[in-house]
Amino acid sequence: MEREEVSARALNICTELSQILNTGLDKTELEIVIKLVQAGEHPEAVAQVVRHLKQRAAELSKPKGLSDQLKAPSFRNM
Amino acid sequence: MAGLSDLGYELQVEQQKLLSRLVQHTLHIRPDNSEYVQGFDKARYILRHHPFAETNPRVVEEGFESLEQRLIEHSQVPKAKLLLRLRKQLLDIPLATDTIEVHHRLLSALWNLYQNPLTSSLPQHHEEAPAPAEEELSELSSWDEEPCMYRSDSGGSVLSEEASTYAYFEPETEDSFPGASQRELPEAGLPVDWHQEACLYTRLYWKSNLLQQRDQPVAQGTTERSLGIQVLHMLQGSTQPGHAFTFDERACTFRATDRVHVGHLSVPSLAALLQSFANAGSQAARVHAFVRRARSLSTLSDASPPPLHGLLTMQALADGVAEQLLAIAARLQAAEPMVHSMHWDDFDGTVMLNLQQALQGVMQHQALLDHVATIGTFSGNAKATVLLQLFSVSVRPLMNILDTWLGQGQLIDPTSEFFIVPGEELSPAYDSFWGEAFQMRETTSDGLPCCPSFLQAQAQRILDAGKAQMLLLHMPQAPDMIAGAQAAASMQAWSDWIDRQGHCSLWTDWLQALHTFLQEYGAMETSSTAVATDKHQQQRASRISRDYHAALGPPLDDIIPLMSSPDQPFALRQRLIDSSCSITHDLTGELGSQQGVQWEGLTPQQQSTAGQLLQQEPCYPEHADVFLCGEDQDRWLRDARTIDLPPVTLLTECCIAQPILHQVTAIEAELLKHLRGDWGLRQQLEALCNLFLLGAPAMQGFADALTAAGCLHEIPVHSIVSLLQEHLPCERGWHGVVTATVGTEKLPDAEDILVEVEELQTETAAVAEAAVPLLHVARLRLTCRLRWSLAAIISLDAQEQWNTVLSLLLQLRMAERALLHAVVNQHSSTIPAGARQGLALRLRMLHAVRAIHSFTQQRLLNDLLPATQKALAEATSLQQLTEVAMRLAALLPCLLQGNPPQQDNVAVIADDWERAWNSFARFLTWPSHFTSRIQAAKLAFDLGIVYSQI
Repeated sequence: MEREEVSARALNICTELSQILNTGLDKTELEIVIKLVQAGEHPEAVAQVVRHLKQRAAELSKPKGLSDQLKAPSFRNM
Repeated sequence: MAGLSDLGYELQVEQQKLLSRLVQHTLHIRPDNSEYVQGFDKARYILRHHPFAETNPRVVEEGFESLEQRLIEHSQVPKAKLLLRLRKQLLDIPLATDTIEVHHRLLSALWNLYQNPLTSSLPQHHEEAPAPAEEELSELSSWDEEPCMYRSDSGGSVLSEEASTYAYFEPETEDSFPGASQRELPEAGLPVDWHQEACLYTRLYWKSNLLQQRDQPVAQGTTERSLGIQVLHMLQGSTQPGHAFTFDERACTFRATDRVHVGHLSVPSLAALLQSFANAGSQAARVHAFVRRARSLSTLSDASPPPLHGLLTMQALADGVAEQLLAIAARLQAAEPMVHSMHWDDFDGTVMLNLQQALQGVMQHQALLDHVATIGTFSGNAKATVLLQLFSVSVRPLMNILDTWLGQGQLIDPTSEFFIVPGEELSPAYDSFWGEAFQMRETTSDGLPCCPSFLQAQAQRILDAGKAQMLLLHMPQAPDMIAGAQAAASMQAWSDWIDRQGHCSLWTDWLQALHTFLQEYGAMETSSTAVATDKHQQQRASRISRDYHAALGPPLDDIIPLMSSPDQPFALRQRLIDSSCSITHDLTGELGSQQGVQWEGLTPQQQSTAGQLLQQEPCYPEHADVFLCGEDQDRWLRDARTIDLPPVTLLTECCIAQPILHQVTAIEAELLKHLRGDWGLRQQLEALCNLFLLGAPAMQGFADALTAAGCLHEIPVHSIVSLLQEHLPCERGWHGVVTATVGTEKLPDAEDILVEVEELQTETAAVAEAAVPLLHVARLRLTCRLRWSLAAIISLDAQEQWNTVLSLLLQLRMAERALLHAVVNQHSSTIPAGARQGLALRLRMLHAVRAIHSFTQQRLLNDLLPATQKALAEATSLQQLTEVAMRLAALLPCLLQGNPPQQDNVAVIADDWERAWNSFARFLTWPSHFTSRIQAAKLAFDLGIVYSQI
């Protein structure tokens, strides 16, 4: 089996696994995750990176409003 | 070496490229964005400095296997099969990499990213054409493919010879049952409404997920068979939610609801089936009967409507049982060659182990069938028992969630059906934990209330109790914190729950309470095996009864004859409960008339016109809430003549809500105990008072130590000043952490009290990290540290007041700084050298500090502290304690403000006042709410006198 074919098959299988596991990864993200793991990165660390980035993306997509300002320190100036 | 180095560099570059691509793709930003840099750096940091251990392939495999098992338990067999197959396929792919265990590492990465796989959908092309079963799952899938030794048409089977003996399972003719659309259900002796009411009232079914209609293909075939398996799991007491059945009586449709805990079975059908199953004789006969039933039902057309209610339910149940039996057969068949091939003289441990495993599975399935078989013989009223069994099992998930929430302060709600949801991820150390960490969820996405109706009134208490439990678990543990003599003496009257040995789960309590209640109620015969063996359970059972008497009104002895015995003469049922919240005594019997009057269909008013003499007594309101529900009352009374089951409302109130509330009360009492005891709020308040009492006694030692150190080491005065200034705050953005000795016998020494002030960071996490080094301030002896800020315990409304108190406290320290500054700058030239210099400095500081604090001290000692201590000692509830704290918080600033400045008083001061005033004009820059001109003037005047004496 050619190397590209193997990679494509692995990606397909991982895509289906990802769908069953409900990971929320799209194909590009999954491909990068696979390559990172293949490159020797720790899988749990990779997962943590993905989770962090997704959380950050969700924060960035939120509109900034008054609620952020209300979180300012409540102590009075002396 | 150079080559290896280059290779490593290339790998690193490649990884960074991948990481960069991941950041850009996930955040949807370009590299020139500032967020990109942060995200990339953070990602790189995580990859380089992660704390994870090496991937263990065995752990990964076990995780996936457990998930597959979980999917099967949730009737998602196709998904489990596909997961298994994909996993195996991935393991077979030869990936070109040098990374060891790369397949398992890939699986591990996906595993660590999964989010509730129970809700995921099958991949597109697998939904339409389910893949053939693998060997590992053949037990669940090969029913239709493999020849079954139990099939009724297998004439050679030993079991088939007994078929004619068990005629009950012959397929019923359609005439035996009413039509699905036109005819009514036969009277089965049990109200179907009871179970429906139980489900509705407890809201233990969950409608947020899909409702699979009968006419949808997905609800047929495998799914229905899986439903049968799920029923068995539920009957066995499985905690996992799954599918359930609902027969819509009006629409005459069969619905399968996902993610539920209650089997919405057609109760009469299931009860009859189970009872007959129990009476079917030997195990083999039951097997045979069930399989015949399954075969006969499977020949029905899927397109046709169900000929009778419950038929599909029975089919699914039969299929489920048949599958279990098939599994038994498969294991026995697998074990048989092992037994035959075994040479007993030559003992083979491996064969024995395999055999033991095979037989273990057999025994488990056998136990399952036995359970089904014996459920019908649990008591005399098999149908009621089935209902109660399903009902009690359905409560278990709720109890388990509540158990971990109230017992351990943890919210474990895998199916997101609890009425408390996690908010922000905050530890109890954070100020905002109490308000934001967990919140109440009112309704589901489709508008249904999340909280069961019988817990709605106490939902807030349950929420607070869980948070309090978390808080308690994060409190510093002192060896004598719980068993202290003072605590034991003072808390004894509050609750004996605190000192109970061990933790008894709500689920156990629920079962015991249910059993006890039913016995007292008369719905269940007293069974010797059901007597509680555990002492705690006995106490609990008696308490349930006692609580019922105390909280719900009429004693059970008066209720039981009314509810339970339809055959008793009417005169024995002397009480009716009418809709006007009063108990009506039927005095007919007492007046000699023993003629029973049928009350069915009669309202109390009609009965009174029928010649009875009625006397009304006021009824307990709580009792009325439980019992009376308008028209339902009459219906229930009518039903009560035919069944022994108590109303669902009474059952839930007495057996579920009451134990939960006991637990909540216990937690509240425990929190109150901690707040009152060591490390508690009282100690915090006293410590805070002591902080304000940094007057003469404490500050004398402080000043002595400071000046002695200065003289001994010949430290210049400006160094001492700078030393003090290190601990003084700047004037903006405070975050106060009070650290103090928890000794109340005497005032703490100055060294034992520290008001550590740190700049409030923008991120709360930074504040927590910054608070940690307090423990490492080696220069000051810290004997303890209060773990959470005061605002975390008192209400958020009082936080500002507490901050004001802390601000005032800090201003005291600023006063010290100003004083020293003034002394050094303006009088250092006049201070004599040597010992006299030290003595002079000491005297000046002592007097000045005394003057600063005398006012505060007097107020606190004479007014505030005694009143606070008295109020704390008298507080018997958390609410009262909180009120004391808030009162103190509101009082302190007022006291510290002192009298408003009055020009007349100023005018009385002697001429020296002007000189001293100018010298200490800095004090006037203090915030006006603390420093009155009177105090400043007095301080300046007194200090001026000291100067003149020197």
